[in-house]
Amino acid sequence: MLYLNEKLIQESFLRLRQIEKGGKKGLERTSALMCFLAFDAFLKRTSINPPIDLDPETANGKTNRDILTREFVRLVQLKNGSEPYHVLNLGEIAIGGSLPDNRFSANFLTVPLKAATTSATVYDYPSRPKNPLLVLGLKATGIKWGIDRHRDWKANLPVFLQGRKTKAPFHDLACFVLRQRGFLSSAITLQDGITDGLAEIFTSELCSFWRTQLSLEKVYFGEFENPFQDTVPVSFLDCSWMGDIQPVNETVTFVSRVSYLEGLLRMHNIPFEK
Amino acid sequence: MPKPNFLLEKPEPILRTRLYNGRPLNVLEGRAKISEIKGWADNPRIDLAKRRFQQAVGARILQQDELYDLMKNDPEVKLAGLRDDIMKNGLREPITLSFNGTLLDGNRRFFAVRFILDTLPLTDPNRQDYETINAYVLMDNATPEDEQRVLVEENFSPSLKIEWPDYVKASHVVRAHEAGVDVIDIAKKFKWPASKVRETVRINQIVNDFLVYATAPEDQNDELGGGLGLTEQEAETIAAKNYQFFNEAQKSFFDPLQTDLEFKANFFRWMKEEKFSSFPEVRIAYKAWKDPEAKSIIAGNDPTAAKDAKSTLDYNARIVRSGAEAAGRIDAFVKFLRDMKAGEIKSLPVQARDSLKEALILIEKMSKAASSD
Repeated sequence: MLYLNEKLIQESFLRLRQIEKGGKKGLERTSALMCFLAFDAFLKRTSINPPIDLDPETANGKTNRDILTREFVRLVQLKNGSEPYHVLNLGEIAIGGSLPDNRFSANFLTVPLKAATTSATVYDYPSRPKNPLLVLGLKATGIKWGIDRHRDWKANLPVFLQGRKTKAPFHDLACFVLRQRGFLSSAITLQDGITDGLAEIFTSELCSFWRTQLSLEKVYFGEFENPFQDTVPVSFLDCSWMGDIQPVNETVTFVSRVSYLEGLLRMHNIPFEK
Repeated sequence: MPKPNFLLEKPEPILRTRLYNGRPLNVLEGRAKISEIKGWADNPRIDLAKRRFQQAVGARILQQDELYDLMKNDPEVKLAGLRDDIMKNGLREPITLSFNGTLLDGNRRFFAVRFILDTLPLTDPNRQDYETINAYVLMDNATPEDEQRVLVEENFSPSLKIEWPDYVKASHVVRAHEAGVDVIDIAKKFKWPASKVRETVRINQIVNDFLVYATAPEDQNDELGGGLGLTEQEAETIAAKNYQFFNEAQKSFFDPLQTDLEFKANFFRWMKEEKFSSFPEVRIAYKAWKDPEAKSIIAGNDPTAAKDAKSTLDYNARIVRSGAEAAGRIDAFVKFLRDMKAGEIKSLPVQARDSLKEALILIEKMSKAASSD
């Protein structure tokens, strides 16, 4: 069993940060990208041909939802525990806040997927940017709670990695995806190892596309000595290597924000407590 | 008031206050001895020529005579033209020196005067006119920031003299950006609009990618991977020469260069192959890439490939204005199909075969519609 080098995973993760901080763009794009990857991992795991039915009222649909949610959580969750570490925006770590499975349910299953069931037109996901990765609903998939890949997903996928510090986004994304996964490979080069690792998680269509991107990108990636190790990497156990971009505790941030707003109300004598 | 030794006592140097990049600086104005002035070895204008030279002789500090030879032989510097102009019209603008005699502005003028002295016989009575030169000299308490202000004022402000090439100016702006200086502050420092600074940063991003790709070794085992296998020197020369073409790329297809890596690799290859001879040809590069017909043309070996691809795109974009023109185009297409050889048909890519099938369905529908009239 082969694992990616811990240091490589950490360096890759830092390169995935946005060039310009702030704004919702990074969050939205990470969320959509992870949904797409989770969907593809679902297809690989279940060997079901798309479109997939995610009807919450049927046993089959419920099972599909559970598997899809698990794939999503596996992609974004970095560390378990009472306050898990997870990724809302690539290159940054969040602690606490809404848990990944709840987030997937609220951001995907409950809102766009449900909206698509009554849509009279083809429902593209995400709606922003105008480069969808998935299609949802009856009009697009022939199934009311259906989900499928968008026909232009190959051209659109790189857009979701734009605006980040990395010069080789598919290398760094692959390192992120493979951060805790062991894979069978006799590869010598990083690109071959990554390709073997991805093939265990994703469909041949996505892997073939990813392999092309790795080839085209490799001149920008540079050399990394000893890209593999034979023990499970624990890149996110201690995050001191992240320097001044330490994990943000969403719960603490939220609580302090509420306290601040309550203070403002009190200062201006505006009643708010019953 | 301390005076540097290279300034003549007579006429007596005058203390003046001059504005450099918005800040007043004290300078001495007087006549400086040419023989004691040090040419600016780090002049970015001759950076490429200097590196070429250092590659040949080894990385060492250049002597003044070697610097002079570089300036004289670099066609971009146009030293002979300036020499002739000074001999005819005299020198109108003083040069600017640091207190230790290093040139901050006027490198070309200084070396042009040296060129004159080289040209004139020792017995020529006019020689003494050129042995000294009008100069502003910064005071001995001037800081490195003051010297930087002189550089910006004299090389970034538009004037009649030859400014630094765009590539050189951009490298200063980019250096400041990489050091974390805010775009607005860079704009103030170099007296450029903030939008131009942002553009420069984007151009630099493309140029940097080009340099990485161009200097990466070719990979015969991977048709998609590998670079162009150029030396750093060769790659930088192409980048400097084509800086404005990279600017055009930044304006026309910056996003596709970030997301379509196959296009990016091909665009860089076309740049190396000198396929582009004008801005409109660069402008259509991505459109050509997305258009199967234009793509095959621009990817060809013809020296006018980009021009031909542009003509094809222009022609195809024209609206068919008459039935006769439509009929003409259909005839040409049918003739093209008839002329295709079996081998050519066999080697058609899947996409082309699918397009033909699609066309067949369309033709049947059109034919039915036409015959029902």
